[in-house]
Amino acid sequence: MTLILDQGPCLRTFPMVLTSLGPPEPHRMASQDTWTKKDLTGIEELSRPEIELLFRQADQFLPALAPGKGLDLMKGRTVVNLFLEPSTRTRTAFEISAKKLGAEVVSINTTASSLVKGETLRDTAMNIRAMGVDAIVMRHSSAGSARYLGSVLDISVINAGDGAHEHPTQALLDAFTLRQRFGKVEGLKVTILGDILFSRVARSNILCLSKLGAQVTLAGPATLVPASLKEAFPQVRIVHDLKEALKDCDAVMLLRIQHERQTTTHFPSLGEYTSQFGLNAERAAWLKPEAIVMHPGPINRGVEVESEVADGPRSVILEQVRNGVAVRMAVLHLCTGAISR
Amino acid sequence: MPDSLPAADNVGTIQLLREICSRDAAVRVLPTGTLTKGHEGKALAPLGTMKKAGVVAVTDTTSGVQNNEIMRRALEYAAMFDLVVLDHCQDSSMTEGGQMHEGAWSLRLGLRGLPRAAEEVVVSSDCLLAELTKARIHLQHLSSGGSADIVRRAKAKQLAVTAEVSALHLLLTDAALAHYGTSLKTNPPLREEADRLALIAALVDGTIDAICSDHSPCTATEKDCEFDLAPFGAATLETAFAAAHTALVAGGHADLPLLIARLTHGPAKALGLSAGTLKAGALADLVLLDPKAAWTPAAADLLSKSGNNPLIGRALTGRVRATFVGGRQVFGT
Repeated sequence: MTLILDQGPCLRTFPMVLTSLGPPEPHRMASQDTWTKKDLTGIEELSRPEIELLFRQADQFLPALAPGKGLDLMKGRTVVNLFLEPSTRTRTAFEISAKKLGAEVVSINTTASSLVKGETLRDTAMNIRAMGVDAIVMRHSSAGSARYLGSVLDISVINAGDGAHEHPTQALLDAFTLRQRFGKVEGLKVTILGDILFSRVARSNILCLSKLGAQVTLAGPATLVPASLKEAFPQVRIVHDLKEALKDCDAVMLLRIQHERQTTTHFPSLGEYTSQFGLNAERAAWLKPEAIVMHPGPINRGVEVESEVADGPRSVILEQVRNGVAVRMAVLHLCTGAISR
Repeated sequence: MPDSLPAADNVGTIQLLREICSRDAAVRVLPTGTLTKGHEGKALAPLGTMKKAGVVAVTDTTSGVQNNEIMRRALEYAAMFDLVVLDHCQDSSMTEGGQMHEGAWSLRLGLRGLPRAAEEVVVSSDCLLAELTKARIHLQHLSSGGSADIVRRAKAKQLAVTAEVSALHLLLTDAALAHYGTSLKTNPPLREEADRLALIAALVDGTIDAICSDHSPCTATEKDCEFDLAPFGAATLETAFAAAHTALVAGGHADLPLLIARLTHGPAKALGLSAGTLKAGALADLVLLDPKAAWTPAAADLLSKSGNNPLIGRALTGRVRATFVGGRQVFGT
């Protein structure tokens, strides 16, 4: 199978074969089973066969999530979590994923980082690399920073969120959860509701779900879901009426309203947002009976979602969190494995 | 441009600048002064004495003047000395945090946008104030097709408005930023193909008087970073003719005489200078051009100490072979 290669320089990479931990799967013949990318900087750079390979790898890792279980596929390797923006969930999930694979993990957060002393990102990263690290997982407030770092370094760079650009592992775990629930992503109707304009989760999900054959609807206030998104992503449908957005979908992804990213001109108040777009039990009844509710977290209870929905039978929020570990294990394993030693 | 540190908002700085240029510069350097003190947009700079000290125009450069009352008074006052006001048209309340043209590419890349309207609002208000004050105003480096339409209407009303476009904006669009190349991060930003074509049409029909280089050098280190931390600007002086020639003449939109007019007497007329023409008795400020030269600029071809020329590695046609100032050759072999 021919791969579409990353545009960035892929130094010393070689095909990484899917690691099977169980009996061989019968459907494997027709699909891709090699991975050649050292970096995961965005969903944009991935092909559908690559996403599917990553999912099959994550399937293999699900049993290792049980307490007391773990693997040693990355024994002797070191992963640095370079988090230059606050994060608890994503950083913890990456730490656990690396540890479940047997890797050593070092986490650097903003306040501890030398970047606050005026060092450039290139210098910080080159210093970390010089210490013999195998992968850097980075969260950064600048869009494009993961691609920049991937082009500078010859070790793996995993994007854990770059500004309002991409958050690829979140989109992969979301699609993985949909695949687990519905058997496949192809043909599903997914509504993404909330702050699309400033959301890296939305961008990665639009790309990932479209590549896997789902139909995406974007919904929310016109200032956060401008009609111009259609020019950027022609495959999506844009709706500003909540009932219209909810009635046909198989899944609704709620996005957190990010107070820190919005200027005051985007909507009048959180209360106004909730009154127009907050998901409560009454509005959830507009959904199809089998439709699920997703959220990348952290949840603002009482703002974009009421507790009765977040904790209700439609919610798969904790399954998303759990799947996030398996998906990130697959990303770390495949990307670091694609570099010859 | 006068946004140096300290700002060229007083006679002393202008005199120092002229002294350094007369000693070290190989070409004619014509200083501009700020329109307001410290280009802060609050109080008028001493325009009359700066004019005596040799400024050819006044401008608040990229800060722009954000207050219409101050702009109105500045235009009235500058007109008394026959000083043209240059304006970088941008409503800063609409561009906070902006990194590139607001459009499909900024949405895909997750970068905050600088909308066309932020420029067009100020182009409109400048034209209205030019009508009110009868003063001369020159609109710098227009980037939006809508701005060209507004200027066309202003010129139809015989207002004393002139305009320019940068060579880079004639050649490239925001799609060139798809890989977050910081060397293409400019202000005003590269916009869409429809804007590029509208700017070319406006240049050809005379709505836009001049092509500028909008040369803004940065060091390689300053540009080697995350996109939103990189400064705006491209070092485009050395490739301005090549870029404009590639876009206009090789692109089939205009002939060589029109291109030369927009690079020479267009800007001279906008600034009210008796330059930019070839005739007996005029200064022998000449450039020897090779319009057929096909070349791809490499870093080693360029003399600029800054490393942020975004046209390095791009195929261009047309090249400057030699430059003469007052009859003396200062560049070329």
